[in-house]
Amino acid sequence: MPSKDSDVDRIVREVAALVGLTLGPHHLPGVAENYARLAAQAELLMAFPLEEGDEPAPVYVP
Amino acid sequence: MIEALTRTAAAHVVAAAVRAGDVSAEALVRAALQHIAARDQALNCFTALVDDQALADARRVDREVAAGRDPGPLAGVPFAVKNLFDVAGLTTLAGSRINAARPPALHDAAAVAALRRAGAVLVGALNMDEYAFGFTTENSHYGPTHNPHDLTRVAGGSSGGSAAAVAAGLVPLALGSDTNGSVRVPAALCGVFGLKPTYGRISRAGVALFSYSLDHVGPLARSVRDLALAYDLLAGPDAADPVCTSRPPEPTLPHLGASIAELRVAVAGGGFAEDAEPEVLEALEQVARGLGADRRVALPELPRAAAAASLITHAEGSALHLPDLRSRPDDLDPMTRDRFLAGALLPAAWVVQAQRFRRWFRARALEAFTDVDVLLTATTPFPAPPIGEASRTIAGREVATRAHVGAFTRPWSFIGFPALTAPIQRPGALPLGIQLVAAPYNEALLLRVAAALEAEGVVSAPAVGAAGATAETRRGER
Repeated sequence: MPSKDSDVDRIVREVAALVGLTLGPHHLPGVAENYARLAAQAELLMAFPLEEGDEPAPVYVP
Repeated sequence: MIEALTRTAAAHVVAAAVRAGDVSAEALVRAALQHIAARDQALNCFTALVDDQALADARRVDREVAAGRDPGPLAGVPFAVKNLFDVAGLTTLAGSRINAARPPALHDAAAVAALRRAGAVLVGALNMDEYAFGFTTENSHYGPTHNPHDLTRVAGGSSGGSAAAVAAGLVPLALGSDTNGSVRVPAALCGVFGLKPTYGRISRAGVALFSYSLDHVGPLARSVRDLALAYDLLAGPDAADPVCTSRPPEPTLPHLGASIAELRVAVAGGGFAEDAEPEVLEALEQVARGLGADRRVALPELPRAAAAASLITHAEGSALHLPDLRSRPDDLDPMTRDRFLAGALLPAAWVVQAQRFRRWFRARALEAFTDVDVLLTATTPFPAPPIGEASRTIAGREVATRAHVGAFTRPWSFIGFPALTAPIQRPGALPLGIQLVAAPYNEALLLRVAAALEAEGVVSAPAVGAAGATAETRRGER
């Protein structure tokens, strides 16, 4: 998980390039703020000890 | 008679009058369109009206009645839909400017078609948060929808146009969609009834989706009977929606008046009982006492459920709109753009963990419902906030207003359990919503309890003006 604002900015810029997003200077503060919020949610969620058998519930029917 | 039927009457009362030949559908629809023309400039519920088509549909209903045929249980009832439902001949905006360049839809969404088959008359399409990504309908492209009980406040969202139109008496029935609370939040803030059924219970075919795992369709109305009537018409299998259940529909109307004395009703504890304004918890307690619900049931891991729902919503919504996020991000609403952009950057492991956690949380919720039939919560932690409010302090903690307003609805849409919001009138104050939740496919239980509360006068949709500050008196403050 990113630990510093500078980490968040770097991750946002690098992953955005990876997925083909072009972020302008007016996008970066808002995107970084939202990414940091989502990363904090993920940190909470990833710390939860799920069992190997806890699989998602897909509705895909072949 | 026409005025009473168009402004305050329930849909089933309107339909009965039309079917009995007491009033013509054309006169009703014409009056509804005039009412909308007079009021909607202040409210901003509608993004499109289909006047000519509506009047033609109404005349068709009148011809059926004149010929001695039954036009259906919603004969002549004006209704409107959130503008993410396909309506043949209209472009499906989904609250966006980007989609405005698309051609008109060729067919009605399945839910729209179902209501039209029952004799209801579509009058227009309603405002919403862009791509349903919000709880307030503060749409930068089409303007905010105003709460009919106080025009300086939000209507809630994302189905804000739907809730405000029903609350203001512009239509007695509307359709919305609910991914994290988007039917229930605006219904609660505007003081009307709203139902988010079990995931997969109502077809989403022809609806612009937002987050595949969490999207539901549901009705909003001013009476429980209307909600049940609409639900019964809408529920059922549809091969055109891959998540729609093949389970046969279970009509709820026949059970509406059944006793609730034997039902086990409890109040949701934990976070549901803490992170809200005192006036909200007080209203909840009053309803609980009236139902004899003295048990508290706490669900574990609510903050993680909220986190997982958020991650799934962002990931799926952003993936859906990725081509536009890449090529024209500044055509998105500034209210949604940066959240969509951030959602496109999430590692797969986070999203997979969120989906796995969803299954875990569902199991805990099912355990909670083994000895409870209906759980009560407040629908929102506070009444309608002012338009533009970014944050507020709840229980000593600063929260983001626009996200926290969905704190009590999100856990249930996350796992697809049915949930209904019923309005509490408070003289001189804004309405609140009480949320009733049941195990999957138990919509009939929710509607029964809501009907009992309605019969006792505990819940009801306030008329505009009941909050003490009418739309007219607050207009100068906009």
